[in-house]
Amino acid sequence: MSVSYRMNAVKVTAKRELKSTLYGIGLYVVLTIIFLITSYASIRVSIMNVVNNGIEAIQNPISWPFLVTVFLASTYLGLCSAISISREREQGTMEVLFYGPVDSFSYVIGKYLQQILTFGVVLGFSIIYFFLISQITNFGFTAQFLGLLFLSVFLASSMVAFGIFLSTLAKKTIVGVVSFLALVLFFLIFWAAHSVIMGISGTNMSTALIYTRLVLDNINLVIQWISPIAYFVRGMVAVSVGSLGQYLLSIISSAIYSAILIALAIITFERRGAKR
Amino acid sequence: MIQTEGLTKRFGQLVAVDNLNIHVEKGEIYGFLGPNGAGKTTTAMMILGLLKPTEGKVKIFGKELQEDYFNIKRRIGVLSEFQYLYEDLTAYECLRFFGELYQVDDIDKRITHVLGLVNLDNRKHELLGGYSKGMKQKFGMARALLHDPEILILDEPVSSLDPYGVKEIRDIIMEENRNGRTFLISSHILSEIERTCNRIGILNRGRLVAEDTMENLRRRLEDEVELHIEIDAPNEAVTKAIQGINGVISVDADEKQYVIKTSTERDVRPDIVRAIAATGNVVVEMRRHEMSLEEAFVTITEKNISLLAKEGVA
Repeated sequence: MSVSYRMNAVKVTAKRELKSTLYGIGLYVVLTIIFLITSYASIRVSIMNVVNNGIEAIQNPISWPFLVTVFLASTYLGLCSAISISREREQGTMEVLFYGPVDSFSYVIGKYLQQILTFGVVLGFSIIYFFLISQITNFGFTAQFLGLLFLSVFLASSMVAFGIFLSTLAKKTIVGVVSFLALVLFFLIFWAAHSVIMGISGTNMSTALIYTRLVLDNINLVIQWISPIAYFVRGMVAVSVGSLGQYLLSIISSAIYSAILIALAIITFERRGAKR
Repeated sequence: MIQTEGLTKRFGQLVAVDNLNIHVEKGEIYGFLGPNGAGKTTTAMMILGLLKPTEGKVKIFGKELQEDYFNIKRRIGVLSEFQYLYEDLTAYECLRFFGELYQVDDIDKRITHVLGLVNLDNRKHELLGGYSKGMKQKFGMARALLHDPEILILDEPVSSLDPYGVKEIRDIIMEENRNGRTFLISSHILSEIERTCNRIGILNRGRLVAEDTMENLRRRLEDEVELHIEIDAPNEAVTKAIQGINGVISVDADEKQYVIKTSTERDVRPDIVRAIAATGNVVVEMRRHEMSLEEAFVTITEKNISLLAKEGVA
């Protein structure tokens, strides 16, 4: 009985938030910006290569633009997640919800589910957009794209779970926003720095660079498991090398990462309580 | 219906609620009184599970909240002092959301009913953000009643209302109580508590200093009786005659009215009437001044503070 009550609480809280998102203009503005960025930064490059060289040798030309779209949309949803719980605590509406049949589990899962469903809407628009792009440019809209769609849900889930976890830690909305953006930026910079340094040939390296490389590599041992960016990178690598094993591993690791963060969010929330 | 056993909440060194034992019976209206910072809201939050007690426990419907969380929560309605609302929703949308959350049958009919109770049915499609403070409070009452709860916990239910709104809410409380609902009302508006509550608990500095019916509280606190008597032609002889009665403590006279203080040990009213008649006067009116809840509240809390001071706590 309590399971059905709990599921109802998850469903109703997620539905309210989803309706509010879908009836608002924010999501559509952000999606438009994301598609413009994707068109300009990724698809335009491929088209220009074809125009300039007469040929573009790339296996799945819409995979990368799609992953860029997923990354940007997930970061936006992660940011919304980072805001959602702390804002409701700040406004006091969370307290009113907890007067009724809502507990920490159903509340956090409801928030998570709403963001995942919103991502489903993003995917719907993305499918239409990339299908149109493939029709216009004649870039292949292959079966592998379906695999990417499936993977993208788990990648988005990692980012959303990360945002929700931060939101349960933050007392104020501004703290949730700043900490999310700061950490995502840090992880991105770290990933870029690590990639660049690891890409430098081992011969003729200065001692300082060797030590820097060693330090970054050791830090990466931890960051590769706590950063949501790292899960994106794993997914991107899996897609670029076309490895089914890596693809599955990416899905499983993202799912575990999300589950751990959501569990931590529930525990943190339970300890802090819903009181304003 | 609600029972607290040794309920204690400490915030660091501060003891907000100290070993509180209250028992709210089925079908009663229990008034929870106390000065600011007495621990009333902390107690309500612990009852609702929003704050964890440091010690002690709360039982609702004979069970601790964790034993049957969802079923217990579905049977409680809450109106908080401050109305935290989804201001981007209309009254109807907000009630619909809560109706779905509480799995209310025939939601639309119920929404119409509860909004009708607080006279907001003609404004149900307006955004809650545009509601006045009083309207929000009335809306809060409608939300608390929406799922037909058995217990209603109301924190300062009339604090933002005009006299007309106060009467509306009071009438709803009385009517819903007649329908069998139990109320726990926390308020600093003593006259409202006095008018609506069957039993009162007075909290001071986290301790329950008195819990009884209004009638019994008065009886326990009054160490003298005050009589107001109006006679047709007052004079010095009347004053002297009353002062001579055994049990009369003091007599104050103005133009036509006497204020007489007597001991509570015996009823001296017949003696007074006889004494006045013996002077050739007629009693036009006699009434006993009853201690208001406000007076009782001040007396109890002051006594309590003195007691705490003696114990070295205050």
